[in-house]
Amino acid sequence: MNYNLITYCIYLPIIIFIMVKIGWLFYKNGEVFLLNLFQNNSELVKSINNLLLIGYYLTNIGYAIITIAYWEYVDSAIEMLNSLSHTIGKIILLLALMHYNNIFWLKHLNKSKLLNQ
Amino acid sequence: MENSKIIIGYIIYLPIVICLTIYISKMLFKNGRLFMIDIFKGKEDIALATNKLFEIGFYLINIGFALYIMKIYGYSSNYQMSNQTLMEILSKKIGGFTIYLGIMLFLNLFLFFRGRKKSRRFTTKTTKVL
Repeated sequence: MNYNLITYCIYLPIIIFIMVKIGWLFYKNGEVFLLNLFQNNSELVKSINNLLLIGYYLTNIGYAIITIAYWEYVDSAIEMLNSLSHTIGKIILLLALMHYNNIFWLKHLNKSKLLNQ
Repeated sequence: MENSKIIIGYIIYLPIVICLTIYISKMLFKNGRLFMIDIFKGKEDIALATNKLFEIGFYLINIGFALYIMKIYGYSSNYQMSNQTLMEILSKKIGGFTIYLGIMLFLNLFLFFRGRKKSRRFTTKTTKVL
């Protein structure tokens, strides 16, 4: 068991826990906006929300897994910590960017809907 | 047995990929039923048949693609592969396939939305003419 394998074993649970938790939070809180956009058609909104959650999981966990293939060579505990924090931080920053992008679109769609009425 | 690591890699890769595809398409078309019924304006038999046909197409495309990218390239038959290399190769394949599946799912969702919008526009036009 070399340092790279230990790094992967620490990295995967942390990142999958973060992804699942954040996806679940978005799923819970985004339902209200979707209900507003789709005229309170709650059945349709539920299925759209489910599909969006699954798509989010697939693309993001896929990206998190694919970063393992391009991991740098690690041969001490300090380097392990450095590379772990760097990669996890990068992924969380990307998530935050995508999240703000989503909020912007929600605001935009809601506003254009109000103008149409 | 020479090169047993590559075979282990295949044995890990195939069940993960096939189970993932089956689960995703089950969820997608369970939730897509409502869209289909919307598109076909409540004609339930034709909507469910179309849904089933789309599901079979989804299986065919994705399992076919998964098998197509399965081969592990670039390792000769007497090379002793380490666990780390195996894990890195597998992560590249499984992660790439997962992202591909996500993109296919969003594409399908987009098609559902487009069909729904088109059928709705058509009905409003016909009601106006009537």
